[in-house]
Amino acid sequence: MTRRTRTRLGASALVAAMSLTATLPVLAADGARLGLTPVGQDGTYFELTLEPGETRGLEVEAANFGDADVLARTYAADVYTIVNGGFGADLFGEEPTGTTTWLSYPTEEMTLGRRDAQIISFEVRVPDGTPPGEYVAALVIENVEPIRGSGSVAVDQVNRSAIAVAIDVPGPRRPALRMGAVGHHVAGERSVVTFEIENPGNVHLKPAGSFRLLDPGRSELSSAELAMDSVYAGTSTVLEAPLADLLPAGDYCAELRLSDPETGVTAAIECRPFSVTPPAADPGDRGSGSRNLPLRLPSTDALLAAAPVSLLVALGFGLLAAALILAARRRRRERDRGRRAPPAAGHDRIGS
Amino acid sequence: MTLLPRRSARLAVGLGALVALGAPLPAGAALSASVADLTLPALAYSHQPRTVTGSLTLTARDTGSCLLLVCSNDGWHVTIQSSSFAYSGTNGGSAIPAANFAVIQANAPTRISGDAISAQGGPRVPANNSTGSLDVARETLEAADGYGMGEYRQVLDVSLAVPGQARAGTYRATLTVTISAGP
Repeated sequence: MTRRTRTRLGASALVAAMSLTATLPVLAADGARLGLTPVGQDGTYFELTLEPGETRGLEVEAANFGDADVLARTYAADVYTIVNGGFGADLFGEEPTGTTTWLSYPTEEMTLGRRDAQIISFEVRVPDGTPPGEYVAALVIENVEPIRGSGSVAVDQVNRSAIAVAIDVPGPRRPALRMGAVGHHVAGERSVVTFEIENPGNVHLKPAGSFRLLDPGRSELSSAELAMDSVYAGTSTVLEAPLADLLPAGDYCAELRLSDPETGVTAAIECRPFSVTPPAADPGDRGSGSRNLPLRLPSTDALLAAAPVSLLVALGFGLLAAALILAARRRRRERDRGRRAPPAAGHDRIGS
Repeated sequence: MTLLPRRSARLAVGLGALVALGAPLPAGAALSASVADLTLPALAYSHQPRTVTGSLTLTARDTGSCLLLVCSNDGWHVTIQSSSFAYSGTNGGSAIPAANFAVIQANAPTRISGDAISAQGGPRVPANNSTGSLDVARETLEAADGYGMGEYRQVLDVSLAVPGQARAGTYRATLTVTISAGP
C-alpha cells in the first residue's frame, strides 16, 4: 500500500464515519405563523344559524404573526372527520364539495409582512331546500412555499391554521351512529385494530365507549375505554385501538360499544371477526440469490456509506500482502545470509 | 372576495396577548403551530428493511380572541400529516410511502408562556389518535374550550420504516402541521 493510497483511504473513512454518525436537522427552527380570525364575532371560528335560502356576509382577518414576510395562501376546504374523530380540513388542491360550495371564498395568495394582516370579505349562502342539520366547512391559511428541510431524508413543512364555518340549519335533529368492518394493520411496530365508524345523521357526535379484543375461544386479550372527538354529521371515519405489541398471526374478534352522551345515540358490534396475516416480505428484501441481485450498482453515496466494511476488507488484504512481502523478504535475507556465511562444517572444524 | 386595505394594527388588542406573546400587531386570535428539530439518523444503503427513529418538537401558540383587555379562546387541535417520501437521485429509487412514517409517542406538552397546563382542559395529548402512521392526519395536542391560551411545546417520537434496498439518493416529504378551531 503506497502512502497516497493510505491518505485516500483515510479521507474516505473520515467521510464515511461522518455520514454514518451525523444526525440531520431537517426542519427550520420556526415555521410560518399565520392565522385566521373571524371579524365582528366572538370566538375563534364562525358559528352561524341560517335558514335555507339565507345569505350572510362575513369577514375574516388573515394575519402573519411571525417575524418575516410570508407568501400566504388562503382557501376554503371540505371538513372531514379525522381518525378517532376530530376536525380535519382537506389539503390544498382538493376539490371543494358540499357545504364548502356555499362559501364565496375563492383561493387567494397574498404576501403578508411581519405582524401584518388583511381583511377578507365573503358570503355564505345556504341553498334552497337544504335539509335541517349541522353543517361545517373550513377556511385555511398556509405558507405557499414549504419550509425546506435538508439531508438525505428531508421533510419540508407547511404550517396551516384552519377555522370552522359551522352552520346550523334549524329543524328536527336525527342523530345516528353506525359501525362497519373491523380491520388490522401495523404502525410503529404495533398492532392496531380498526373499526369503520359512520355518522349518517344530521348532528355532530362525540361518541365514547369500550373496546374488547378476544381470541377465537372468546377469551379477552385486551380491553380499553375509548373516546372519540367530533364525528361530523354525514361523514365516516375510522376508530383505531392501538395495542401494546404486535398480534401474532391468527384469527381474532373485536367488540365495540359507543354512545354519544349528548344525543344518547348508541351503536355496538359483538365479536366481529378479523384475521392477522403474517407480515409480508419486504418488496425490497429480495434475498441473496443471484436472480435477486440489485439491477443497479450502488451509487457513490452508498459506497461511501459502506466504506467501513470496505476499509476493513482492504486493510485485511493490505495486512495479508504486507505479511507475505515481509515473509518473502525474510526468506530472501535468509537465503542471502546463507550464501555469505561459511559452511557449518568449518565451524565444527575450528571449534573442534 | 374583497381584500380591504392592509392594517398594521387594531385597537382592540388584549393586554394579556400583548404581554404574553410579544405584542403581535394583528388583532385576531393567533393560532399557529409548527415543528422543528426533526432529527433522523443518516442512512446507509442496506439490503434489509430497517426502522429508524427520531423526534421532532411541535410548538403551538394561541393568543386567544381579545376584546379590549379581555381575551378568551375556544380551544384548539393540532394535527400532523405527511406525504410520501418522494425519491430523487440517479439510482432509479422509488418513494417511501407516507404510511411508513409514524408518530410512536406523543409526549406531554410543556408550557413556554401563558395559561398553566390543566389536567382537565389541557393542553394535553388526546386520549386517542396521537400515535400511528402519518398518511392520515394525527392529532397530537389539544386544548379544550377556555384552555391553552399561550405557547406550548411537545416532543413527538417518530419512526420511519425504510424498505430494504432503498436506493441511495434523497427522499423528501412534506409535513403539514395544522392548528384548528372548530366544533
